[in-house]
Amino acid sequence: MLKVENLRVSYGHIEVLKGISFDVDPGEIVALIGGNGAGKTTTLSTISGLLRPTSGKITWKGETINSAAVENIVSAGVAHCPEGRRIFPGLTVRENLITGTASRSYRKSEIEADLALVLDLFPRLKERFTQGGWSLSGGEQQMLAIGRALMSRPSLLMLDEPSLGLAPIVIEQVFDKILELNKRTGLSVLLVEQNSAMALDISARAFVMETGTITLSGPSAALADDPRIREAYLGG
Amino acid sequence: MKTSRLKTRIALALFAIAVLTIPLAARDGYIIQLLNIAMLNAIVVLGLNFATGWTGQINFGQAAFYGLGAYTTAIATKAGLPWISTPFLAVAVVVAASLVLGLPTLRLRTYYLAMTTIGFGEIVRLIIVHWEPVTGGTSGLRAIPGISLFGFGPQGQIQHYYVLIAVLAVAVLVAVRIRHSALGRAMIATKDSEIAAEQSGVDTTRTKLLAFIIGAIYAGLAGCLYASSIRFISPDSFSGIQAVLLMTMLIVGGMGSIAGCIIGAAALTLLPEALRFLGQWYLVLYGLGVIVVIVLAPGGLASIASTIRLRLAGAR
Ligand SMILES: Nc1ncnc2c1ncn2[C@@H]1O[C@H](COP(=O)(O)OP(=O)(O)O)[C@@H](O)[C@H]1O
Ligand SMILES: [Mg+2]
Repeated sequence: MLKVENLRVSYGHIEVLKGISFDVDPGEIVALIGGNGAGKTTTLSTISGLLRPTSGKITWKGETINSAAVENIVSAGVAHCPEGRRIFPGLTVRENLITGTASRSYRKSEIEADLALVLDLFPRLKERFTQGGWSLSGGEQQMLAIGRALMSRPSLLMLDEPSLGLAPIVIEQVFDKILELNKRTGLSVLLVEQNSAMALDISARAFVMETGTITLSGPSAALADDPRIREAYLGG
Repeated sequence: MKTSRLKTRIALALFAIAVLTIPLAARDGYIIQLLNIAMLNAIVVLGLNFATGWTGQINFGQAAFYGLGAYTTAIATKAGLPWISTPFLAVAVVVAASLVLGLPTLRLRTYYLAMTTIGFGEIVRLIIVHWEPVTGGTSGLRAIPGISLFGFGPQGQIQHYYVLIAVLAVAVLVAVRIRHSALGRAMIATKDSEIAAEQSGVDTTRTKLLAFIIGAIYAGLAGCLYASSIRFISPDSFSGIQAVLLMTMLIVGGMGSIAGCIIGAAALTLLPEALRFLGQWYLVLYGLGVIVVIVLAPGGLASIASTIRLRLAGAR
């Protein structure tokens, strides 16, 4: 469904993605793991159209989206839940969620139905529905960011380090929700994580990134047992 | 929840009654004129709030748009065009100017708009000063025809006061409507995080441009009303200093708050006059006052009420 081929991206003269290739199938959770600075965020930003590749090809449902506008990529069904949560503190929880529908014009009834689905998945947000985004805890903010991404009715959800800065118990809750979402709706997920253990646990396949190249890939269960992964990412 | 809403309603009603009866109490024409200017400034600051308070774009061109609206109106009516054409002419001129300024600069993610609008303000001022045969140069334009619709129009300060109250009320209602629309959410999302806004599918360039243009329209219409209700204009009223003053009104009143825009405009229009008896010293006091507000109430004067309410609730 999503296919990335030989993707190269540079910031100025510095090449940070050196020809990476991977793909995500419908209904699949795919993890992209690797240390800080490997190029994971750059990869997601390029797919969602915020950055332009110097060469290579990104195809979504058979169409090349290398040079499509950000909002067109969102409305084509690719939602990006950014690193560091980045919710809108100045908007209420409700308004944050509705802003997720900005790429297309929905009818009021459709928006209300989608809101109900998101609140059903994240009951905590219902309690905070009319409060300002600034008043949420870290975990609630992450759920709001995911909920907002879901409001654009994606068929692929790209999550950039959803566990970042959250307490272990909250991380567990967030990952449970991602898994539940995938099981319930068949949503594909491209999960970027430094928390490799959790990411390998819930994904079907994984790609390991190191300084702009993909060094290993395969079924997540196999990678979790791979001694190279155990040593570098799972703490021995 | 319910009682607090009722309290707000009662407070608003009392406020409305007070505002509507002021002219009966203060029969002094000078005070009414000052209040009229405060209301015009409030409309301009409400306009500035779209781009700066909600969308986070620094705009020092608001005084120039105010001036463009005023001069367009003055020149048109003095040339004999009917008054009813002037709001449309003023809006056409400021929309054209804001498109020329906004289109190239708002795509860029830094302070280009701030820089460009400072330059734009200076260009407008220079044109007004030097194109003397049309603009009257530094001495300005006098005896500008007043507001007139099919032969009817407000006469005297007090009638203008009520006209301006009505216009300000409409300006507030429109701002409230926009704030609660998709465009309003897009503005605040753009200010809070431009990248996250784009990732949510918000067209941030379009949002910034619209905020800028809507703000310019507010200023242009206020300028139109300024020319035809004060009936005298000069370059000083729309200078770079005025642009900074408008920004100060927004900050002191409370960025992003509609009530703050009005409080800020009223406070900074009326206070200098109230302090005039201090002579040279008034500027010092005025400057200190602004600093005190910014330091003690970073959310502006409009935030003080809610801060006090929170404190009281906490103390209970
Ligand atoms: N805006 C930027 N300008 C220049 N270099 C950047 C920028 N963003 C990231 N980089 C560099 O690109 C590399 C990859 O960064 P990133 O994609 O954020 O990695 P990750 O998300 O895997 O931690 C790093 O070396 C980082 O320093
Ligand atoms: Mg990253």
